[in-house]
Amino acid sequence: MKTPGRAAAHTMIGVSHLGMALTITVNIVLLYAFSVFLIRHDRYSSPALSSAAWGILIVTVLTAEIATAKRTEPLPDWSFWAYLAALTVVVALDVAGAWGASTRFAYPTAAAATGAALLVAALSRRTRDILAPTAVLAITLAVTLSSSARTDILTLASDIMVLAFSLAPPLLGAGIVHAFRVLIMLEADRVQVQSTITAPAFTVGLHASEELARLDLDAERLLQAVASGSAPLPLGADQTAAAATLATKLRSHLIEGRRQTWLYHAIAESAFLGPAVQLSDPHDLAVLLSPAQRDGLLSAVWLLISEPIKPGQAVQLVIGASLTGRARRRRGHLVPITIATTGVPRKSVDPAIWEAVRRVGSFTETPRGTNFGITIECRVGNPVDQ
Amino acid sequence: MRRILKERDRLLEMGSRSIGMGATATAILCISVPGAIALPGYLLVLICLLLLALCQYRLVSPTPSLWLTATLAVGLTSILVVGAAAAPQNIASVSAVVVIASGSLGSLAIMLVSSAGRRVFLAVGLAMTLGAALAVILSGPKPTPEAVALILAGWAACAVIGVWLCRAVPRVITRISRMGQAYRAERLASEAEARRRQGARLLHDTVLATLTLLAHSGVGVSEQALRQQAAEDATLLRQLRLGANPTPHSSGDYNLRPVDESSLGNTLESVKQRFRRMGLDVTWHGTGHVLLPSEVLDSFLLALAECLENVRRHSGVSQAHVTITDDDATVRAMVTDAGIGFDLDAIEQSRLGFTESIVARLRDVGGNARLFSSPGSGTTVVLEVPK
Repeated sequence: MKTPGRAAAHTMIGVSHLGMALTITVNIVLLYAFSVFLIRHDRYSSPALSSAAWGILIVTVLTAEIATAKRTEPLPDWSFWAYLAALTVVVALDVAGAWGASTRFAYPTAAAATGAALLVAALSRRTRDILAPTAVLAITLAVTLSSSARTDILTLASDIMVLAFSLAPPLLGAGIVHAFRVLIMLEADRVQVQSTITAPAFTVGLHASEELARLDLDAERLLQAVASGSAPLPLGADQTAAAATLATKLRSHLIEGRRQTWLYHAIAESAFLGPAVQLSDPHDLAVLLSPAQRDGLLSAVWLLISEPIKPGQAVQLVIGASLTGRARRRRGHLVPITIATTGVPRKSVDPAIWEAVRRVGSFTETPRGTNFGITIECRVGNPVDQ
Repeated sequence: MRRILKERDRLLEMGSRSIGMGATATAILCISVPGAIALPGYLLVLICLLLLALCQYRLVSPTPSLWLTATLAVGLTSILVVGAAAAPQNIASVSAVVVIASGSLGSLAIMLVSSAGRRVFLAVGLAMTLGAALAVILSGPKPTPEAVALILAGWAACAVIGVWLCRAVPRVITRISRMGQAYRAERLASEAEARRRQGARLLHDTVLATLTLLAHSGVGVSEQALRQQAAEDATLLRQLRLGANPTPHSSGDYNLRPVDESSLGNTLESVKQRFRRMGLDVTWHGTGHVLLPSEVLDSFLLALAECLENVRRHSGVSQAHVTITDDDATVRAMVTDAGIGFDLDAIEQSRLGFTESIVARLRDVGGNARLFSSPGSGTTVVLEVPK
């Protein structure tokens, strides 16, 4: 029921905005590193090699920046490998140029700047495609910096600074891009979950018709194969089994009673709530909730686990649990709802949750050690009147 | 809107925190180089920097402004303490000061671009940082302009990231929530389409029957008959599929299928073929090309097939006649057989399955059915549906 394709499409929306900011950041870092090189170019072991490295780096980065500007689709795979190859050449030339010179404060500046240059590709590549070259760069720089005969141990400090300077941009850039992608994914999922607020009380899933259409198409293909003779009769074991499976699935899809409550679909279709929330609603009482109450309940559950789920975190949602004595004496139609949590620390919960819960009904909090629970008395209209 | 700002601020705070703590860790490494700072001073600097890291860690909290101020204050203090503890300055202490000024404090620029008030804070913070850092650097050996450049570069890069996050996060969230409309539409469409397909019961009944036959390797049915049945069912499924494309299917007139695909004639022909295989010869009279909305067509065919099934089972003859007529508003089918017939008064209609399976289905789509029969003179059923 998860739709990675859709999530990927959403990711592209945000990522296109990110390009400009990263480009400016990369250029700031490059400008700084280049000016440091210019100030000290006469101290390098072979200035020509380092100059060549800078020439290649500037051309490569500018080319990449122009190629990725205003582009919504990722560049072809080979272009990233070509970019990495060019950066490797830069690192090799610069390391050769600055070999043994770090005690004279001549650092491999172009090589250090390749870390920032990786950011140009951070948008279109997976995080590990950025982190792996960064690790290689770290080792290369560490080896280069320790290549010079050290007379003053204190120069180690400026070596550390150079290393940090070259590694910080790719690490942090990759981190920010990753955080941004997660944000977009969560938002998209939340919007999908919220679309159930106005859905009919009992409904088929978002993808039910897709599934049914696919089954119909599979059946059509099989029957067509039989009709045209491309599947010889009697059918082989594989096709016989396929026909039986298709018939079973099709039958189960066609049964009217297959409709589920909006809440079931909201949780089952969400890539995010699905794995963390256990719903128990044996009498389908969720259908009685008004749109405002639905919104409140979904927001509350969402806020309980709004970070990427940690192992051991779970939320049990029980609709129609037995009422407490006090509640039972009250008049009117009450749907009791209990939310029990595991591994969700009470103090880390967003305070907005209480406002969300209040929209569902009057509630009491039941702390249970490190876990905590919420019991809501949800007042609903008489189902007969609805 | 409040929620969007909250998401935005959380991302800003997380960015500030990770950059800042990374820089503070680097500064700790710099001052830990043996000989950088003598021991009592070193411990004091270490405490300052650990305190700085703690403040930075707390930036992601309900009261970020408080920790923002605390981070700046502790950071400035750390710079001055490093300067005082290391005097006279050496490479390591200057490096540490530059890292604190450009990274640990520069990272605050991410959070400081989010509002006008904070931008004032940004200017003041940058000025104080530069002042403190210069005081230390200028007292050191061979002061270089690069140190100042690095501090400015750190603040500038962080400010760019902050400005971008401030703009992009609300824009992206707003854009995604607009997609909620699309999701709601998709939900309705899914519901309608599933209903349409589930509603095509006649078709699925025969498809399921054929699939079940195939699953049992077609035992008991001639190969030719099975192939033909499969071909017809495949055609029906194709019609169902094409009926959904390219137009939506949930309102008004565009439920009509394309002429070639959906003329009643073709579909009736397939019903006829099916009954012939089961031993009932159906003769067709009248209009062949009538277009009906798919829902009506399904009910109509379902009712017709039920009638023919009744003829096959009960009439005792192997031939039935179906006459199709239509006028502006109605399509009418008359199913006639010359079989044994029955006394309408003697047998309850419901026991024939007539009410349930035929009348109810037609009434669902606004149609009707009437039954005429007497013993010995055959049976006639008239089915009517609106166009």
